[in-house]
Amino acid sequence: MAKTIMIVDDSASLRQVVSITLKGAGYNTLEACDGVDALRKLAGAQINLIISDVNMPNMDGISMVKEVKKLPAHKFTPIIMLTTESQADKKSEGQAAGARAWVVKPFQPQQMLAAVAKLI
Amino acid sequence: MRTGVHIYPSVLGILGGILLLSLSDITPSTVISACLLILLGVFSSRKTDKTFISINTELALLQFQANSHADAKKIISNTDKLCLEVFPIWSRQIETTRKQTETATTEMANNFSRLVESLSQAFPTHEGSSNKKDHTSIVDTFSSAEKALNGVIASLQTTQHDRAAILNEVRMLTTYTDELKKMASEVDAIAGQTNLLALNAAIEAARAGEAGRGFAVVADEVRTLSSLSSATGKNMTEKVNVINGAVNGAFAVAEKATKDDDGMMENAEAAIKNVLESFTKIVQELADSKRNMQHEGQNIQQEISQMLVSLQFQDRTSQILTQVNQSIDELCLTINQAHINLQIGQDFSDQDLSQWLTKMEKGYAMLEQRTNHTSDKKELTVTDDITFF
Repeated sequence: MAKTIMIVDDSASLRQVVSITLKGAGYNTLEACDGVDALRKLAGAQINLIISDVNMPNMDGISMVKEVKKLPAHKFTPIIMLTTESQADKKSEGQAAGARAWVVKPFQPQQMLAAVAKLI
Repeated sequence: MRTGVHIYPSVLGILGGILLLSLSDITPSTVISACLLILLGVFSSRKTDKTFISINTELALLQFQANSHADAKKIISNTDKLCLEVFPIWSRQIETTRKQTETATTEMANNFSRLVESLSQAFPTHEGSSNKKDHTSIVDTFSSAEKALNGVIASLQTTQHDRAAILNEVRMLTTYTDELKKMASEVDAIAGQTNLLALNAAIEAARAGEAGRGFAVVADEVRTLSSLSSATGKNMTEKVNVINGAVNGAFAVAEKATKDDDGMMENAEAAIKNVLESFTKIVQELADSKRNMQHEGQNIQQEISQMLVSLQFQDRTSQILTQVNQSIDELCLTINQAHINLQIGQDFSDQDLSQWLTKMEKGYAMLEQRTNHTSDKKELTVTDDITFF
């Protein structure tokens, strides 16, 4: 059975780009436009991995990761931060929150798939 | 004012000298003192004159500066008004551009997604794809058909060999019929000899008279039997001839059929060989076509990857434009606040300027923004970066 990956990003085009990359490799995808939307859609969903932006309205990616880690059903769901942020202090924030990888946009599709395969 | 003030020390000196001469006795010391007073007055007048000139210059300068400051404030106020009018317009222009770009890019990504889906169906590149199954199925079918046809040829060849064996057996039968004919001739000859013997026996029985009567009957019966044997021998010869003719006819027909079969077998083998060769060619063409399709699929896949990377730049430009917009909005607020502060004598200090720029810098997410902030002209290369925790 194909695994499902949630894509959280406020940019619809970026969500589409990630979705194309993942669907091409046989994954199912579920999209959310920010942290709040993601937490709502996570409830009761079978998600194998989350790819999230950092800078988003309503709830940013780091805050969302902290909230996801509080959910018993998704406590161990691996999360990849996909962002334009490349500052070391931001990466440290992501790591402290519980993210498993930090990918800087623009990403290379093959490398993203390799990162997904490593964590899923 | 200058002409009124600078003569006062001179007048005072002269009056002091006159007063001293009038009130004191005129002595040399009094005269010298009066002269000194007059000279001191004149000197002081000159000094005062210079001081007043200096003060007047300072006052004029201050007046000029005050006027300039007022003018400058007026100018700054006007440019601020211009900024406050223009900045929101720029902000809206940038936001419109950003939204239009985002909408167009999202639409492009959607179209691209559908295109990728169509291409993945037309050029499948993954293992286990339907095209591979189709190709495997064709190869398997071809292989099965080849085996079945070869089996049919083998069966026909076996049948042909069996028929050849039967023909050999039939050919052997013709040799037996000759022997049978010979045996029938021998029976006829034996019957002839027996008839002669019976005839001799009848003659001898007649010579013997009454005593030979019974022997004559036996001789007569033997002659009858020899006639019957002779007839049977002749009959056998006729039947053997008939059988021989039938066997030869059957053999000729079988031989002709075998020749025909040989021809048919050759034709069938050639036909099957042609069909198999055609199939082999088709399968080979299919395999070549599949390889080409896979190669094209890989090229397309690479193009797709590159386009997927390119499409992501919209997100980066959108973030830069959003940040610029926010900064413009904040700048408008800052200018308004600076106006209010200026009314109560608080100017926008260098420290305020530094803090404002620091705050703006903190809003940056990308390396390009930070590099642009410092006017660093070095060429930026955006590299992919993955960090695992």
